[in-house]
Amino acid sequence: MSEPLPLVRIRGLRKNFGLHRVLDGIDLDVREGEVTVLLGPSGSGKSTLLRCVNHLEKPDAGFVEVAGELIGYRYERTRGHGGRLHELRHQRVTRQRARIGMVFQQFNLFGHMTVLENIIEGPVAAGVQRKQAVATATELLDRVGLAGREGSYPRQMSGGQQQRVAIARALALRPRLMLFDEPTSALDPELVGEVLSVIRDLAATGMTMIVVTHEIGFAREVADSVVFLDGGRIVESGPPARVLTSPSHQRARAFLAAVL
Amino acid sequence: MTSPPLSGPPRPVAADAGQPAAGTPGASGAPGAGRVDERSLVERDEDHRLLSARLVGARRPGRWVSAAVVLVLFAMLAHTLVTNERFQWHVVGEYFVNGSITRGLLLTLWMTAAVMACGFLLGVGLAAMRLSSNPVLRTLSFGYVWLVRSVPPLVQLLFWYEIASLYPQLSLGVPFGHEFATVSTAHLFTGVLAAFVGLTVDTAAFSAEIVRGGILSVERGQSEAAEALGLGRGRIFRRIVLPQAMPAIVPATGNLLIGLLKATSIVSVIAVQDLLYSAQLIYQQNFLIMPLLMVATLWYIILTTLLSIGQYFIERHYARGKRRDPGAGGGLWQITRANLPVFGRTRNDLAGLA
Repeated sequence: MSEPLPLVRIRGLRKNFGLHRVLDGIDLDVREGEVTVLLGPSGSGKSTLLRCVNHLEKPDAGFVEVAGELIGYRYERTRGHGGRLHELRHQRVTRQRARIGMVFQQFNLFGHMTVLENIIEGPVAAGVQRKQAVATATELLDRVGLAGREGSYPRQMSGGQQQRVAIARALALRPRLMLFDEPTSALDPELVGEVLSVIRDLAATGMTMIVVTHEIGFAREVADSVVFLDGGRIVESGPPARVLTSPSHQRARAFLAAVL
Repeated sequence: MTSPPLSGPPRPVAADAGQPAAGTPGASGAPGAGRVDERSLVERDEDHRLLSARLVGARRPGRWVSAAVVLVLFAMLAHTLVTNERFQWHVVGEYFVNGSITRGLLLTLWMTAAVMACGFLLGVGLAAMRLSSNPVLRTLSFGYVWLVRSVPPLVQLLFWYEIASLYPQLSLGVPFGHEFATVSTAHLFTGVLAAFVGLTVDTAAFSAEIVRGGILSVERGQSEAAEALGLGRGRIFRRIVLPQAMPAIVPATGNLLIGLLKATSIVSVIAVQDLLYSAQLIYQQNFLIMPLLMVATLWYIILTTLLSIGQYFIERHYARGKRRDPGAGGGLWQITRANLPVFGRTRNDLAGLA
């Protein structure tokens, strides 16, 4: 019997910014229910890889598949070899994105909306009844330890609280996959813990996640798989116990020595 | 130490003079009470006197001199307004709500409102075009703004008024083909329509630049987060970007609107009976030039004041989420009063501080 299809399949992914090649042929599988942590020096392409998964960045070659569905493109078979990848209409991409939650380094909460309005915006846009969306939002706020803060504006909260709201907002769409782009890098050191603990709880519920982070301790504890990027390529990947303890690649060793 | 109030003029005196007091751990508390460090503090004899001294703000004689000068000038202005009989205030009063003036006022009002509404909507569209990824729309918007901003509004007004000499007839039909309906241009482009079109075209160009600037002031991350949440493009623009661009858009637009209110007076050159032209028509008959110009002036002042007040409330509305404390801010009067310079205030505050 064959293995079940991984939730995320990335093959041959390339991305250039001008003449600079940011991603240089990435192949990666993320299995359902697993946490994959992307590590690597700045400029190694971690964030770009993550942003390709929900098509915030358009790849120049290769493809991303989530739950068996191509992201951002539609394949058309043509006579002869190859065929065509047609870029999807914005509306279709929008629908695909709604099933992938994303959390940003700078939180990016909507500053003119209250916490509640931030969380229900996505579901309401997707056609969920407002009442239903509010009920879900209340429940999620409780889950991230911010019950009762519905009426607050983001500016009235600490960075850690804002990031927890951002996580609740991403979860409100009941995503199958969560992407975290350096979720604790903009936080004061004493606020990192509260955000990581929310992400840890989320991992325990079996949510599939791809996390870009510099928190090695968190990776060691929560990740099922650690992927080390350098210069737009995967130079090392595997279970944290191996990659973080005895990396075989020299770049990975140097990086870990520097951050630990 | 009391924290300074949220609003009000800056008081460097308080900050400077307060420094020695703030440096010690409470004026009345025993020095070094909460210290973990075992080394004792070095005391000097005058410390005790310094701690109990009253703070006195720096003298600012310049303020009193400038206030006196302004007061005298103001008194002179008031004096001449009252005593110079050639202002003929009774005539001003007589014509202030004269039928013809009121009709002109109404035209000025609805012309301003209609031009602003249409011009601003067009401007939002032009700004969206300019920021879109479609190169045709981008170029079109850029070209429009470039052309319209290059032509003085008075010239545009005359152009639209005289458009009939370029195109005597306007038709609705297939390009280069069949025409369904035709109308005489001179018949269509009366003074009022020419004024409306000319001013709208102009306002749209300036609104577009204001809106574009406002949109660019919203962080890229906001629309990225909205995209990641699966919001459509239109919804992102309406719900996320535009509301957050408003704090940058409103003050500039208020300025534009007030400018437009007064700019409508140029329609008097194409004989549209607005507020100014109505006044002109009257003084051309009775030669009471100054009093009638005062009537128009007073109305413009009143309208501008009302618009400024409206702008204040709109700005406050869009400041939602900008303030840390949503309850603070106070009413219009509190803000005004807090910004009025009051003499001797500095010293009172210092007394409260000590």
